[in-house]
Amino acid sequence: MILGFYFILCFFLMIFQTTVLANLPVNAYDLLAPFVVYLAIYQGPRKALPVILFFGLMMDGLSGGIFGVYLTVYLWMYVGVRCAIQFLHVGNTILLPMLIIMGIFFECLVLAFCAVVLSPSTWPAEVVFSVLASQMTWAIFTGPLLVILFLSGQRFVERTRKKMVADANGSRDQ
Amino acid sequence: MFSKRMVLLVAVTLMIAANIIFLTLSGKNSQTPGALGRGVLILVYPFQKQLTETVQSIKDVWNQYFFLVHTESENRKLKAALGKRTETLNSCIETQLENERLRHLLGFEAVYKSPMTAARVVGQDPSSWSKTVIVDKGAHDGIRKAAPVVIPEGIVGVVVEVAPRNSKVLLLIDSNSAVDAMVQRTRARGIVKGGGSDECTFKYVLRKHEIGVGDTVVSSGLDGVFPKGLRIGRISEIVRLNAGIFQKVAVTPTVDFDILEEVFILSKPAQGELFEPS
Repeated sequence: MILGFYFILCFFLMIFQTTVLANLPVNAYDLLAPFVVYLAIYQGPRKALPVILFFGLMMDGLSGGIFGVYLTVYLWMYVGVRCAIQFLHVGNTILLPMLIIMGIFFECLVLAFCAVVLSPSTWPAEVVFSVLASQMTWAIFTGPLLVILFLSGQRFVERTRKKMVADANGSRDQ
Repeated sequence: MFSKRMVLLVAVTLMIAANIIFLTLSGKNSQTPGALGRGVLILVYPFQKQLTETVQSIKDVWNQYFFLVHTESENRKLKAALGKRTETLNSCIETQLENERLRHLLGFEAVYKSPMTAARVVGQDPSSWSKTVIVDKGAHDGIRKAAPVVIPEGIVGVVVEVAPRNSKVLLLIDSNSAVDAMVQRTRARGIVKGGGSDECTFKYVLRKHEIGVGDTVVSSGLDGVFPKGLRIGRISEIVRLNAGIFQKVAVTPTVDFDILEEVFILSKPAQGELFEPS
C-alpha cells in the first residue's frame, strides 16, 4: 500500500512540475528531490529503490537533457543521505531541514554541472548562477515543508492500512 | 592487505568515474533512447493534458470574470486602435492587389509548400537546464521526427521525439538547438544557437559583414530543416572583438517562449523557400 502511495505521489509531483510549475515565472527545483531525501531518511532500499529507479527513468524520458542524469542524481542522493543519517541525528529540528536542503542543493548542482560541463554547448555563467540561486532560495523555504507533507501522507496511509487490517480481522472473528 | 575502508573508497571512486563517463557519452547524443522516451510520453500525456486543460479553464475564468474591471477602459483603447488598423488594412489590401497584379504579370504565384498541423502545448521540461515542450500531436497526426515547429511570430523549435499521440519539441532557446540563419537586411549568414536562457547567439558571422542592432534574423533554409525566410529574432547586441574573424552577436527571439500555448508543426521537410515560385 505504501509503495502505491509513493508511486501515485511521485507521478502527481512529476505531472505538476511539468504542467503547472513550468508555467510559473520561477526557476523551481525538481520536486522529486525532497521526496528522494525523505525516502532515504524514512525508508529502506527495498521500498525506496524501485520508486527511485522508476521515476529516475521517467524523468530522464521526459527531460530533453542528458539521458541518465536524473537516475544518477537520485541514486547518489539516496546513498549520500543514507550515509549521512548514520552519524547525523535526523530527529533534530535543525539537522533535518539542513539535510533536506543539502539534498536539493546537491541535485541542483549536479544538474547544472551536467548542463554546463557535460553538454556539448556552453551556458553563460551569469545565467547558471541566477538559475541556481533561484532554485536554492526556493529549496530553503519549501523543501522542509514538502518533506513534512510527505511524512503526513505516509502516516495517513499507514493509519488507514492499520484500520483496514483491524476491520478485516474483526469481521473474520465475527 | 587492504583495509575495508580503503576498498570502499576505491569502489566509490570507480563508481563515480563510471557514472561521469556514462553521462559524458550520453551527453554527446543528448537524446533519450527511443522506446523509453516514447513510453514516458504515452504514459504521462493524458494526465498532462487534463491538468493543462484544468489550469487553462481556471485561467480563462479568472481572465473573463475577475479582469472585467479593466475591460471598459481597454475597450475604448481597442476601438481607437481598431480604427487605425482598419486604415492600415485598407492600405494593405491595396498593396496586396497591386502585388497580385504584378506577380501575375511576372508569371509568379506564391505557393505555400508545407502543410501545417496545429498543436497545443501540454507539458514542459522538468529541468531548468533544458528547454523542451510536449505537444498534443504525434505520429497518428502525421508528425515526424525533425519536423520544424513554428508560430506566426517565428521559429519555435524542432520535433525530437514522436509518440503516437504526442511529441517532444526542442525549443530554439535550448543550448542544443541550431538553425542556419541570415540577417534579412544584409543577407549575412551564420548559425543561431540557443543560449539556454531567453537569448540566442548568432555564430560564425564574419567581421566584414555589416549588421546592426535591431536587424531581423531569418532562417536561410540551408539546414534542410527550416524553410527559408522564417523569422528567428532581432539582433540585440554585437561585439566586434579585436581578434578573430567572427563577430559575437546576441539575438532576442521573436517568439515569447514563456507564453507558448499553440504551435504549428510543418509536415514536410524544408525544400528551399517558404514561399516559392510555381
